Amino acid sequence: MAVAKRVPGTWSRLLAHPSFRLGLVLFALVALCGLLAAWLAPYDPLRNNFRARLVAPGEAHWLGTDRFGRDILSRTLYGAQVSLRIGLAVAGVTALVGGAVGALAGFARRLDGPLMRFMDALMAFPAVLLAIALAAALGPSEVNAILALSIAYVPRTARVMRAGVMVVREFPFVEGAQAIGASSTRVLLRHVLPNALAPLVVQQTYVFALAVLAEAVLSFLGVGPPPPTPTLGGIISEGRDYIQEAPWISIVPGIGIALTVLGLNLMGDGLRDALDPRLRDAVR
Amino acid sequence: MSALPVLLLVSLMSFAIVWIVPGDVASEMAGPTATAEELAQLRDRLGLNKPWPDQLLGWYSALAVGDLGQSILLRQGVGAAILERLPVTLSLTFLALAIALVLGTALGVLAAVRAGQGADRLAMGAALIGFSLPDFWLGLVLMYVLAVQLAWLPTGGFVPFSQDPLGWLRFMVLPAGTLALSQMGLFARMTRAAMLEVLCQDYVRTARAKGMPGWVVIGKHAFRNALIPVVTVAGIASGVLLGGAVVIEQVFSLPGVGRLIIGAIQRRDYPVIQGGLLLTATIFVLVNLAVDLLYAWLDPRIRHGRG
Amino acid sequence: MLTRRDLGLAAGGLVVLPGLARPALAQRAGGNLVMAQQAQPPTLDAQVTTAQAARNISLHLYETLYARDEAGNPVPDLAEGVDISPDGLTYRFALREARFHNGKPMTSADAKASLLRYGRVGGSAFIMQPVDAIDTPDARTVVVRMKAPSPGFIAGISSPRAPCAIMPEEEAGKDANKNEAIGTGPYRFVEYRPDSHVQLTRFGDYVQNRAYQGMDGFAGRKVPNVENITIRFVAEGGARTAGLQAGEMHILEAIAVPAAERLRSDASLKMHEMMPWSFQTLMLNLAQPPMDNPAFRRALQAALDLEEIMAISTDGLYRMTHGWQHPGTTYFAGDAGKQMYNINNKDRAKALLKEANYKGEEIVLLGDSSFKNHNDTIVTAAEQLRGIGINVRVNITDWPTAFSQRTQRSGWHVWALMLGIEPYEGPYGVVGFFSGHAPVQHVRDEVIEDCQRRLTTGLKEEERKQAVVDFQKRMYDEAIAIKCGDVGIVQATRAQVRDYKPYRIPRMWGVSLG
Repeated sequence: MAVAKRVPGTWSRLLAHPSFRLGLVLFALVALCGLLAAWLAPYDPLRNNFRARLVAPGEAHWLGTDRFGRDILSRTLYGAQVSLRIGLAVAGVTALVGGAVGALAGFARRLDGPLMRFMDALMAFPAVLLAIALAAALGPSEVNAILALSIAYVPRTARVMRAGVMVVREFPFVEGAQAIGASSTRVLLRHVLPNALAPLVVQQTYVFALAVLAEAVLSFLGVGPPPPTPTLGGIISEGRDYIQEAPWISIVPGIGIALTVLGLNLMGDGLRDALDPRLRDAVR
Repeated sequence: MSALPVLLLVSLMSFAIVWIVPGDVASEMAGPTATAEELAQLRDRLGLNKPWPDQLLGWYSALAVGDLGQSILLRQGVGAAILERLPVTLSLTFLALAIALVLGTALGVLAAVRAGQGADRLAMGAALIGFSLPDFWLGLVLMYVLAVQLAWLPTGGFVPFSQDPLGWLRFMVLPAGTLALSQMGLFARMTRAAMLEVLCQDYVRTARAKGMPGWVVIGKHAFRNALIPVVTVAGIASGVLLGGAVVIEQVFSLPGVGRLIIGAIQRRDYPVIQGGLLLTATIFVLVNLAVDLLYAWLDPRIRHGRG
Repeated sequence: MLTRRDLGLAAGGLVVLPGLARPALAQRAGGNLVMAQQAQPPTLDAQVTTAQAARNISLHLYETLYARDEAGNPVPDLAEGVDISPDGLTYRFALREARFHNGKPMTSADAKASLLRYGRVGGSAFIMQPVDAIDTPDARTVVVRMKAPSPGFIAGISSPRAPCAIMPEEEAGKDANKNEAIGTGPYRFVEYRPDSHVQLTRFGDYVQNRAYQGMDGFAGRKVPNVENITIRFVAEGGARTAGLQAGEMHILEAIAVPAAERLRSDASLKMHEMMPWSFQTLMLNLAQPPMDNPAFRRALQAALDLEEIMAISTDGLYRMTHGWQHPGTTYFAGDAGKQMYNINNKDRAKALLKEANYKGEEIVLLGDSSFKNHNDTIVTAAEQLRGIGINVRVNITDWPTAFSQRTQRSGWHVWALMLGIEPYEGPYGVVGFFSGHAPVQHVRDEVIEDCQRRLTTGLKEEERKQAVVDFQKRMYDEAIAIKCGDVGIVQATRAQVRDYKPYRIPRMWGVSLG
C-alpha cells in the first residue's frame, strides 16, 4: 500500500533536508530547555524577592530578575515548558477536531455543506480577535487559552484536511477499494485518511507556531494564562513596561519564541518539501 | 463559500460570545471603587438586566433594518463608530499589506531562484525573523529606536489621509512597517513555494529548453502563475493583518477598529463587541469574495470557463 | 452648634495658603498642550463616574459649589460661602458670579437642578439622601434643607470622586450619560474621539474666582493660560514614556517608577512625586468559610509581609502606614490598630491557623490584570500565604470579571483593591465601603455600622473623629480587611511646562508653556 512504502523513505528524506534539520535543532533546543526546566532552573520561577527587583544579569542571576525579583532564566525555562505545552495542545486539539471535521466534510458529501459553512463562519473572524474574545469570555487560564486558540485555528486545519481527502478520494486505489465493496468507514480509515495526513502534519507545525505567538498576544492583552504562570509570551509582555530600564526581561524569552516559531516553520517547510515529490525534485 | 448562511452563523456567534462574558459595562462606567449598591442602580438605568431571549430578538430585529445598535460608552451608533475607525484600520492594513507584499514576494522570488543556496537561506531567515517575534514587542522596540533614539518618526497617533497625506504617512510608517515585518515572512514563504512549483512545470522547462533567458522565464511565466496562490494568501493575510492590527493599534495608539473592539471587550460595551465582530467578519467574507474574483482573472483556466 | 470650623471649612474661602498665591496675569498665554493618560473616560458625564480617567477631563470643564483645596479640605468654589443653621438642617449657599460655556450666566436654578440630578444619577448619590428640599429664594441663593443633620454634606458635594458638577438647568434634566458637556470651568469641551483624544479649549468668558489670589486644589483662582489642551489616550505605558521623551506629550498623568528614576537626571523633563496617592488593600470576604472565622483572618493578618507586597506592587514608591486615613489629615486615627499592622510572623500565623482549625480549604485570591498594583499584590500575597501552608488559588482576570465576582458572596476569599480618591476625600467613603446594605466584606459588622452612624450624624468633630478611631481599631481587631500601605505616583512633565503643581489630577489651569 502507498502509505507503507512512503513512511521509511520520508524520514530519511526529511533528515536529509537542510531546513528541516535546522528547524529540528532549533525546536529541540527550546523543547529540551522546557522539558529539563526542573533540573536546569537555578531558582523557583515563582519565588519573589523584593530586595532583588530588576537586577541586571550577573553572577547571582545570569539573565537578571523581573519586578518581583524572580529569576528570568528560571522563568524562561519554565515558560518554554508552558508555551510549548500550549502550542502542542492547540496543534493536537485542532488536528483531532479539524481533522475529523475535514475528513467527514471531504468524504461525506452530504455533511460537507453544513460543516464547512460552520468552519467558514469561524474563519471569518480574524483568528487573533476571535481568540481574544473567547479567552476574555472564558476567563484566563491555561486550559481556556488552549480552548480559545483551538477554536480560532480549527477551521484552517479542517480546510486542509478536507482538501487532502478530496484529492485522495479520487485516487484509483480508493475507487478500487470502493468498487470491491469496502465499507465507507473502512475506505475512509484505511485508505483515505493515511494518505491525506501528510498535508495535515505540515499544517499542524504551522498551527503550533501560530499558537505560541498568539499566546503572547493573549498575555499582552491580559487574557492569557494568568500570572504568576510563566509563559514565554507572558514574560515578554510583563517586561514591556521596562524595555528601557530592564531590557533583559524580554530579550531572552523573545529569542525563545523566535527559535520555537522559526524551528517549527522550517520543519514545516521541510515536511512539505519532503512529502511532496514534485517540490522535492525542484529543491535538489 | 456561500456567503449568506455563513453571515447568519457569524451573527449568531457574535451575539453568543457576549453572553458568556462575565461582568458588564456598569463596572466600567461607575469606576473601580464603586460600591455594589451604586453598581446595581446604574445597571438598572442602563437596562442591562434584560434576559437573553429579549436581547437576541432585539439584535436580529435591529439587524434586519441594518442597525448594529448603540454603544453604551461612546454615545454613538455602533455602525457609525466602526465606520469612523475603518479608515484607520484599512489604511494600516493596506499599507502593511503593500509593504509585506513587495518585500515578501521579492525575498520569495530570490529564495526560489537560488533555492537551496546560501541566498535562499538568508532571504528566508530574514523573512522569518519578523514573523517569529511577537508584534507588540517588535513595535515597542522599533518605537524606541526610530522615534525616541533617532527621532525620525512619531511614537503614535493618527492624521487622516484626506487631511494631510504626508502627515498620515509619517504616522503610519512605523505601525504599518511593524505589522508588515511580522507578515512579510508569510508572503516570502508562499511566493517561494509557488515559484518552486511553477518552475518545475513543463511549460517553464520547455521555455527554458527553448533557450529563453532565465529572468524572462521567471518574470513572464513563473512569476505571474506563482501570483495566483499569493493572491489567495493576500486574502487570508488581510484577515491575519486585521488581527495583527488589533495589537499594533494598541501599541501605537491608533483609533482603529481593532482598538475599538478590544476596548469594548475590556470594558464590556456589548453592542460594540457584537457589531464589531460581525462587521469585521463580514468584511473578511467580502474580501475573500473579491479575492475569488481576482483569482479567476489571474488564472486563465478559470477565466475561460473552468470553474 | 455647628460652625464652619467644625466642618473643616476655611471661612468664606478668603484664606489662601501663602505659597500658592501667584500673580495670575504675568503668565504667557497661548500654546497647545498635550497630556497623555492610560485610560479613556467611560463617560463625559462628570456626575456619574468615579473613574480617574473622567475626572482628569471633567474637572477642567466643570466646577462644584464647594471644592477641595490643596490639602484636601472643602473650600468654596462656585459658592461664595455657606451659612449653616445651628441645628445643622439648613444650608444657605450664596453663589458667586459664573458663566456657562453656552454663554448663559449661572443661577440658583441651575445649581438646584444639578444637585437634584446628582441625587438621581450621581456616582456618590448617597450624599443627597438626607436632603429634604432645595429652594431658590433668589437667583444667587440656594437653600438646601435636610431631613436630619448631615455633617458630611459639604465634604460630599465638594468631593472630586464623582464631582457634583453644576451644569445648566436644561442639561441637568437629562438622564445619565445623555447631557452635553457644558460647565462653568476654565476650559470648554471641543471634541471626544474615542480611543484617540479629547480636545478642550480655553473658555474666553471664564469668570475667575476673585476671592482667591492663586490656584488652590480644585478651587482657587483658575487662570487658563494655555489655549488648547489635548488629552490623549495611550494604553501602553512604554508608548507614553516614549511620547514624553520625544516631546510629543507635555504631561503624563503617571509614569512608571523605574522610568521616572531613569529620567530624573534628564534636564528636559521634570518628575513630580506624589505621596500618598492612594492605599493598597486586601479586601476579605467574611461570608465565605473559613474567612468567617476571625482566627483564620488573623492568621492572614499575621502571615503577610506587607513591605514585600508594597515594594513589588508599587515598583518601590511606597510608605508603610497602618492608617485607614492619611497621616496629617483631620481624621487620621493615630496608633489605633498599629500593633497589628505588618506583623510578618510566620510562626504566629501558623499557630493561628491551628487555632482556626484550618484543614487545607482552598482560598481564592481574586485580582485583575487591568491594574498592575492589584495584580502584583495578589501574586505576592499568594506566594506568602502558600509559604505558611495555606492552599491558595490565584484567580487573576480582567477588571470587569474580577469586579463582578467580588460582588458575589462566594467564589472568592481575598480581593486586591487600591483606594485612592476615597481616603483623599476623608473618612466617609472609606467607612462607607465596609458598612451599609452591601459592605465589601459581605457580612455586616455592627460595630462598624455604629461607627458609620456616628460619623455621618455626629454634630461635633470630636465625636466623628472618635468614630473613625473606633472603626480603625475594629478593622484591625477583627481583621475585616488588610491595609497594605500607602502608594505613591509620579506625574511627569516636559521642562517647558511652567508652574506645574502635581495634584490628584494634572491641572492645566495656571500652567503655561515656555
